Amino acid sequence: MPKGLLFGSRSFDLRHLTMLVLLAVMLILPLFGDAYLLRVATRVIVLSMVAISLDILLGYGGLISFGHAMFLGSGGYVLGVLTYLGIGNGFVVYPAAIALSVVLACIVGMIVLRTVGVYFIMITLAFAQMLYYLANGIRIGENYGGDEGLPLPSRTDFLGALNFNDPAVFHYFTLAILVAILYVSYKLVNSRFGRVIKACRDNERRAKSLGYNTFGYRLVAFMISGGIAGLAGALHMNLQKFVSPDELHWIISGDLLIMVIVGGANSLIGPIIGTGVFVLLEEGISNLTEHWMAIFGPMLILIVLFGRRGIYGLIKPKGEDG
Amino acid sequence: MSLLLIIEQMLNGVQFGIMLFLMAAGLTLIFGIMDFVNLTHGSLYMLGGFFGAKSIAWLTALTGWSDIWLLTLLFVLGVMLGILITVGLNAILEVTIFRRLYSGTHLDHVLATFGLLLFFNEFAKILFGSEPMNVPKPPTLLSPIEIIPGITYSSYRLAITVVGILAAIGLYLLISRTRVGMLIRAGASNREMVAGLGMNINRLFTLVFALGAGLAALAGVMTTPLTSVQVGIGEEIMILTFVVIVIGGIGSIRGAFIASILIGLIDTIGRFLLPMFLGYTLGPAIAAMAIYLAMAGVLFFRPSGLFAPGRG
Amino acid sequence: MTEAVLKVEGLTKRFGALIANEDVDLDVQPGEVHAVIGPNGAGKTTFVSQLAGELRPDHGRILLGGRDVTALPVHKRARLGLARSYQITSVIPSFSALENVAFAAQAIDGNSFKFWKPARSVDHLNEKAAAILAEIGLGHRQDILVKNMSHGEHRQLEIAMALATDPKVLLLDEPTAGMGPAATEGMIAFLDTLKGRYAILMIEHDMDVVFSLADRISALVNGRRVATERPDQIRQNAEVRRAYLGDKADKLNVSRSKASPGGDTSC
Repeated sequence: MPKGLLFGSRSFDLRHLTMLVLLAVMLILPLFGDAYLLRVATRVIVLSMVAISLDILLGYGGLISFGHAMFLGSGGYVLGVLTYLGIGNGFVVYPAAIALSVVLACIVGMIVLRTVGVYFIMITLAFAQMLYYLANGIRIGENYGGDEGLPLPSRTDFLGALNFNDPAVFHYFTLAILVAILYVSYKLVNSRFGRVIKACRDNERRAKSLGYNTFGYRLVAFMISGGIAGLAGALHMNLQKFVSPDELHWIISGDLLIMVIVGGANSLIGPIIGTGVFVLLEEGISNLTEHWMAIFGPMLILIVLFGRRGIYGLIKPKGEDG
Repeated sequence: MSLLLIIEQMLNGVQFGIMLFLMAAGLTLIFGIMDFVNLTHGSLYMLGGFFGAKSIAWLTALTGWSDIWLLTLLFVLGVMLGILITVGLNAILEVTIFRRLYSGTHLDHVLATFGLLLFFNEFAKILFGSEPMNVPKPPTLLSPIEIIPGITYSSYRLAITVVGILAAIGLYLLISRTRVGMLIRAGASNREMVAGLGMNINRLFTLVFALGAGLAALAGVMTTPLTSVQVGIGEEIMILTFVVIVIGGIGSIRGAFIASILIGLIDTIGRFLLPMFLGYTLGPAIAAMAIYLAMAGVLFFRPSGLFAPGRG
Repeated sequence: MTEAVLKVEGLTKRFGALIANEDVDLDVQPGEVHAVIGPNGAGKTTFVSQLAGELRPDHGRILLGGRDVTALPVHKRARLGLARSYQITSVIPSFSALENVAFAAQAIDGNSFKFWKPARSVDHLNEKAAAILAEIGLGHRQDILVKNMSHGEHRQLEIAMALATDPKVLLLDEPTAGMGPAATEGMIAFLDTLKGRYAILMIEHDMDVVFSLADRISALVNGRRVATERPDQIRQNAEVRRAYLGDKADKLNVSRSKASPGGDTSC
């Protein structure tokens, strides 16, 4: 039986409308030629990928990773360092960024996934902090790296096929990747693998007693999530043309959690909406006052106390699960 | 000569470890007893530092005293005032916000306290500015002191180490010798039991929160003359505190103590030794990573820490 | 004597000074229902947890189909054919009844590193799950989310999930806990249909259930197995009577019409 893509329901509702409007906005934005707006929009797209990857762990897997910025950094640094070494071919550096992030996720996952609950939250945070310090130690020559960060020395080249220096080209490229990630993630969370991950979230003990090696499934989910986030990290590097340890700072990990929750965890478009809202608020309020966190912080508390289901919960038809 | 330096670094490590313990003792109880993820503990350290620094400056300006013993007294009073203000502020938060969150999920805790932390940082920036704020050491504790013949050490560092140890002993006596301490211990391993004993669990929570806030503020304000206080300083120490708690085992005061000293030593000695061997870029980076590597090592073999209560 | 499907030798578990299980020997023969009874605090829960692999015994061995599984983790024992139901309902609340059972069936259907095809359209899992639900009497409820089901239905679903893993041994921890009289009757009738098809180790408080179903009954008292007898004989056992005196001694005499000690017991 055919299911509506992304939503698991065939009837048209508010969610489809939201997605179509968002997609349309993203498609026509480059035509206006406003460099600032386009940059913000591309940033929403790239960070959305990280948010989706985090939601696979958080919303579907019930794993509160407080260190997801580490993959944003790993992707960016791989791209940066390889480009410095003279490897600027996108067909090499992108797979390398993804591969290293997957390996990183595997190593970190082997330790953090042995723990649960509060331990898991704190340990993912601590690991990200460790990589933050490692990034501080990455130096290229005399002038680059360390806490000052690494500028991208030359643009990533896809055998002449894509000109990343054209913001519109880069925008459409990231948009295409986001759509692909959405499709793959949709398949993933509804697959038999996704079913195991969701069951582990609800009742890990039961999954074990039925014969599932829950650690193994969670580890693979962690690696997939890390890979997607690493890809986004590389794109983020191409967007900013700069990566620094700040990318891995734990506040960024916290921001990512906020994007997922505010948008609505346990859905695939929730994180996109959340990222959009977060970035627009950041840009909007920080233009009004430099103390935007003094407004944003209390907003978060209110969201937790009064609006737990996220924005996605508001546009989702009542009575539908997931 | 280099032996002298190493002894000094080790003492610094112990001193830093004691400060970490003051942070960790409260937080491990908050995690253990209330199952509450609190990201604002570092903010209390920072606020304690700011309020203490302001109080000392204010008292000094108000009295205009110049006698070194009177100034030392003002320092002590300022420290206490700083702690008092921080504990009071935290008590207001506990009653208005935290209490509503206890029944929520860990995710609720993380989000709300993260928001609060962001707010505290801006609040401190608006109130105290974004420049580091310094406090002079009390004038009686300026010159080094000979601890054993031939070896001298900063008298201020020694003093705060002693205060920290006294606080630790006080905490130990409170936990092990009093009825309240018995309830706290019971709560760390079995929450339902405490409720079953007919104890007002809300009062116990408020008490543990106040205790934790007081210790964190004490650490913050005592460290200020050494490192000065600025926005963001609390977060770094908070993450270190997390590492301590995780290694020690959530809810275990004894584990927190041992892990604090361990991390204090690894951190201080690593920062001192590794740059000599690895150079001034990689050295500090690896030194900063050392404690996390230690944590990873412990957790690989003992996923719930060294001394997790109630977990066998 | 045929080879036991499940064999326990000298199982001992202490928590500090407290002895939860001491030197317990026990076996379950193919097709047999072996019930374990005992007053509260006799160590039944500890015993089950060790069999399932959630607790590691201090001493002793657990053999599953002749293979030593004492050191194996929970999921490996399950894959060797040990299925359990929990005393406190343990299901996946956000799944439908059908998906819960299909999830259980999926556990033995190769590995689950299958990332593409929607889980809901894997027909052979759905068909197997639907058949088991129909057999246990939940066929009409298969599309209901389990968080919206009643307690009795949860108990049934527990068993259905265990059955979907094609077990060799069923470990049932108080299958009728918290059920009303009518639902208990239904459960007994259903479990009766499983007799002979699976080796069943059942922990149970309700003596009606025990005497209706068990081929052999073992009594645990203070962590030690004091007797293993056929149902008609266990009532006469002095040690068992002493342990139950004042508590459930009368219950041991309750004889239900259906309680006919199996003649096919292979001791």
